[in-house]
Amino acid sequence: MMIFRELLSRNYKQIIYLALFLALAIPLVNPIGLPVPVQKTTMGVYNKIESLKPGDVAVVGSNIGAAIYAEVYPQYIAILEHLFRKEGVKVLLVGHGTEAPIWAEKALNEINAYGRKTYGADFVHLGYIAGEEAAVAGLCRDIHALLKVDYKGRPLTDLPMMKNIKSAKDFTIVMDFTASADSQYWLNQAYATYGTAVGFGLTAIKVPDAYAYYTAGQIFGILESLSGAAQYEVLIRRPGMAAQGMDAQSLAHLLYIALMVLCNAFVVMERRVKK
Amino acid sequence: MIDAAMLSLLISTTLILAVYSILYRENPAFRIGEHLMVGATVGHAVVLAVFQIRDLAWRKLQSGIATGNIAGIAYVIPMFLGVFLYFQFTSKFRFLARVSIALMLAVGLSLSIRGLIFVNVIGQIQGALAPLTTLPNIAYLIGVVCALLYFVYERRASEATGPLPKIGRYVLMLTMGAYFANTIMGRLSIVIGTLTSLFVVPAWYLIPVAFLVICADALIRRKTPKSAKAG
Amino acid sequence: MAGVWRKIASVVLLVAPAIILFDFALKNPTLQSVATDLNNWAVVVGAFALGIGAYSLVLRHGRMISKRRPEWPYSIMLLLTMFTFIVTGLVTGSITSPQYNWIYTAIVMPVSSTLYGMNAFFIASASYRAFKAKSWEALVLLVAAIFLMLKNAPIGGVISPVLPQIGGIIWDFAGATGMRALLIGIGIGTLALGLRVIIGQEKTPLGGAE
Repeated sequence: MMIFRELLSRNYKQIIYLALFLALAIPLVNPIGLPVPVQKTTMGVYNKIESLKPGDVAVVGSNIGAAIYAEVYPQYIAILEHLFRKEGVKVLLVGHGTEAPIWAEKALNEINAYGRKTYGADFVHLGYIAGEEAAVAGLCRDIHALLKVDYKGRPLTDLPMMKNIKSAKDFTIVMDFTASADSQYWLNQAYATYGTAVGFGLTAIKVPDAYAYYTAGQIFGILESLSGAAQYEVLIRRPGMAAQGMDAQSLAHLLYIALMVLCNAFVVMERRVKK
Repeated sequence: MIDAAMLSLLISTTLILAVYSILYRENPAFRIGEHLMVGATVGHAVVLAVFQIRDLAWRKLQSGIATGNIAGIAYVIPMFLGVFLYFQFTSKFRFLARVSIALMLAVGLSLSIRGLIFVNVIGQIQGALAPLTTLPNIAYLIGVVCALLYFVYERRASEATGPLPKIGRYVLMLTMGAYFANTIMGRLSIVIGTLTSLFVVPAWYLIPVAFLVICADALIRRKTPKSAKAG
Repeated sequence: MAGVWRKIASVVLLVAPAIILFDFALKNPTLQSVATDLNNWAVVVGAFALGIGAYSLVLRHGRMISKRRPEWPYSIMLLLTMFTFIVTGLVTGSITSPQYNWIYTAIVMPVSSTLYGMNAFFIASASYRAFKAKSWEALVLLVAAIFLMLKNAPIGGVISPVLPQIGGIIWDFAGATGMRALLIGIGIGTLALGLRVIIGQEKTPLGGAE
């Protein structure tokens, strides 16, 4: 044990980095197939979307960027797929980050949105709107006062579904995918002012904050990082990249726990040696 | 034959490995990746800025001038305020940016205040006062009160509340444990995403090449005297 | 001139929030229209703010190149990349054009995600080196973190079904207590700071004593 400790104390960083790389890489190349239990927060999102009726409007906000795409993009795809399977539900996509429109178009192409639904009648992509909370407030107050055109420059007045969508009073649900404060903006502007039902797809770091809103009944559900995406893929029976990553998560988590336990075991051993 | 998609894949793989090389040591490959990203991100923001100004202000101004609509013509004011923001970098005209910053601050703050009172304060207090008919709900209420008392730094109030702030500290430690566990999960998810894009033919052939380069560098550095390494 | 502009800024800081907050309370059509316009003006100014980073970078790195400061070749690469993205975006007219997508996928996606995810490795080495439970509080944090990690990863349920259940209890407790207290604190803190800025007590956002 002491020899192992000596080796670790001299080259510990390189050994740990290599161990972590292997713990992540091996299950990606050779999946184990661990079951992914579905959490109540994920079920909350699923049930809410299942309850949508023809004519309901689902606003899908996102602040997806290259930094967080691995966590949030699989959730985004899964939710869009579920929404596009619902007959008659109108989907309004809006971006809160500078890279959001790129990922929105990527997702729409991946689920063949333009092929299976009619742009302008079934879904509209508004693109990125600068201004943080002011942008969300503007959307909730009066979309047509804030924006005259959609992401591709088409006048909103030419898009059939936008004739009936003017403000947050016309939104049925809002799902926001982010790692930033825009989830708070939707709560502040849509939920607090208009009572719109809000749900989140978040990176793992943001989930603890959002869980307090969930337990207070202020949001209907949360998709928690890659795990939430994997659970949702199971629920909608659409296998994707998320489930593949959960095996790697498991091994890496065990490595972290082993490192923390080792660290404290060595502290205890040192104390005993000193005594 | 290398087509555009394959070239993109090879460039992105090279950059991923260049950035990961920082785990070995600080090196020019990492610095190149870092600088490319900063330039790309800022360039992207500029492109978005141009499109946003066109869609959110210029179109409305044009339409206002064409129809004689005062509200549309008035968009020239925020456009000027936006330009004034850039005067922050001059010492003589820095004061011009104040009104622009004041407007963004004022609107942002008032919207936040409006929302946060209902969501964070009233909503969360209502959540804490959930029907106290079950043991968990009672425990949750006690936990919230103790955690809030921990933030009260006034000495007499702290003394009057006895051990409750100390219990609040432990409650907050549980919460920090939750943040830590979730931070780990989050970061691992991102690495998994990066590795998934690495383990694609022909990209993954670059992984052993990167390892060989690192091993070669490590061997060379071992053989080089310490005085030569310092440069 | 600077004095007049400062006074105008103070008036904006007082009047704009008053309009927006009264609009929320009173639901008057004229007030609503003015509040909507103010809101949309702030969005426009925010759009201009997107370019400030570029302006600052060009100034700084331009200076580094002209004075041949150390690492000036990296500055050239940075500015070249920036202008490549700007030209490609403006010429193609869209950030989802095939050309723009190509450079975004080749440069931004890999580097951004790798930089962000690298923390995982640093946290791993910190977990071994620094996560020592030297006090009861640290022990509580460590034990809570371990159970929550076993709840987050599917392997916890495979090892024993009790582990994620304990993790779930800790998660529910932390969510309903500590996180709630933090959110209440944030709400009250933001309200207090916001009111201080609005009434002019807090001068730092507008440049302090200048």
